[in-house]
Amino acid sequence: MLQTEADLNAKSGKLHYAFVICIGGFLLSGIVLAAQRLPSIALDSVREALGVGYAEVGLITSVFMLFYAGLSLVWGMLGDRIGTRWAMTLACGLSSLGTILFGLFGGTSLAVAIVTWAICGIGCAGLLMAILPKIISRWFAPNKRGFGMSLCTPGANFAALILGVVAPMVINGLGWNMAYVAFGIYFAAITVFVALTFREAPEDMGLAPYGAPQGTQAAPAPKIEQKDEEASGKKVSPLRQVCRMGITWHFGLFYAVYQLGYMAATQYYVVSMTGNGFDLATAAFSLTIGGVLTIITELVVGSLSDHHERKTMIGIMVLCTAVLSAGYAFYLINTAEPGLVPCYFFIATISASTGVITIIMSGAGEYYNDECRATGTGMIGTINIVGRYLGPWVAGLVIDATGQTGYAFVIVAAACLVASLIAFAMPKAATVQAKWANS
Amino acid sequence: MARRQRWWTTVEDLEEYKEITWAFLKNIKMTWEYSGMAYLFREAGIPLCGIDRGTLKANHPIMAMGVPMQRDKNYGVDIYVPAKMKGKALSLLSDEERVRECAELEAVVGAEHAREFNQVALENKNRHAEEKKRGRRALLARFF
Repeated sequence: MLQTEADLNAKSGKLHYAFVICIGGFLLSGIVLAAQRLPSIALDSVREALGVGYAEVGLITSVFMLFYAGLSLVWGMLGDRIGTRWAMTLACGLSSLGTILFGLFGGTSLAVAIVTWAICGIGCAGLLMAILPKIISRWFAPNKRGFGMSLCTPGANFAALILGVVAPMVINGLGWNMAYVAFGIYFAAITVFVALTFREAPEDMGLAPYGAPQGTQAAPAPKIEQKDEEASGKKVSPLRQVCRMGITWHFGLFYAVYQLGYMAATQYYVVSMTGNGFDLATAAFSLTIGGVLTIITELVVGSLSDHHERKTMIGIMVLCTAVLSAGYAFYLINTAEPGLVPCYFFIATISASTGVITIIMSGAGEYYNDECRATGTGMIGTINIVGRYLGPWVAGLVIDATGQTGYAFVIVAAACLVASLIAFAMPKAATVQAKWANS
Repeated sequence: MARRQRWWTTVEDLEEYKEITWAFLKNIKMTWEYSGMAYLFREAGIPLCGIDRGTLKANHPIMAMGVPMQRDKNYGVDIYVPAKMKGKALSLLSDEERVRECAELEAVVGAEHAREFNQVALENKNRHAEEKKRGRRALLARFF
């Protein structure tokens, strides 16, 4: 390496185009969160319009989640094949189309509602875990990727904060049908933004990559004289390579176990308070405090992970979640009348510690080379479907068996403890990359 | 942490770059080697492209854990030139004294050239983007 050459970008003095990509990532994260929260806010209106029970109306979100979590791999493969820009545009377009169709035709029958909302789920599957790490890793040097990702993921938290106020107003003002159409149009505007502004890599903008000598520009891999090039063997498909890499299953196992705890926690934050005598508004306010803290944590730990090994940061943060969850469970189980402040403290800090998802997303992408990065992260996103579904179910079973909501957080603590041990045991990203670059 | 290794080139137009068949010239490690080479080749009209190969610690962090920083093996930068110009490039580099002199000259004019290069490279990028846009519009116009 030529160590003394300065990075051209550092001298430009202008805002780097990578931040435009981050704005897109921020907006896309917001869409994913909005698509998950909108049905719960409009649940009763939709149920009344369709004339069905809670179990039936629940199918709409269940089918959405099935597609949302299950299709990450497909979107990842598509991202590797057609490029991140067009894959994300397509995903965003489908989310927008699904939302508009749900608003226009969702009230006609349950089947139509399920199908139209499933279209939105298919689109949402391609917006976050599947492709975002790939485009961020292209636009940010490795020592800045955590920072880059930490600018994107708070979009979901901001959406959660804003949606809690805006969505009920829009639904009350326009009715749930037109509210969905309005949100669909907003998603469509983001689709246009993504299509117009997203670029595959810095080369597309004439910007130099990290560490290139001055007077040069980034370039794709050149056509090299045949005699200098070693005869390459049969080209392995990205999916096959990803499946052959042990880190896929190691990281997938970690993320599935972590999601088990994460989903159990998010599902029972409010219930853990309402089950102990607090009213819904008081309990729901804990989520707002937690949301603000999560945004701050994401920004802090995202940047911190650029200076420390990411898997170690993941392990430490998940261990914090385990300790705090164990503390909350112990407090709820052993206190006859839990106080408001301790409950807020535990929920807010547990929620804040889940800001580790920023590092998980940037860390997962770093284990793969550029050719199979989106497929790899998509595969991990698909594996975690197991934990996503088991978490709330297992925690629910434990609450039913014991009659105390505090036991849900015992499950969270146990899952996060196991997940942190798995995270600490993960190899370093550079080791995995070096191994597979030579194979 | 692993660093992403990406190709870079002194060719101003990437469409031209894609058409060239490149041949490996040499691996260099010192900044002056690159600066001298950049100046000499620019004067002689020889484009080049290169890729940073990293260091021992960068590529094998666990294996190299016990290796002190001062002994971190530097894999340097691989330099490629157009296959047709390889002979001329090698003859230019054979005189090491001349390369060192050119490195000093590059220190004086390098920044100015880099500014001009960036401007031309960006203009080329924009021109190609405009051509692609026109092509897309023509294609759409054919349908509608």
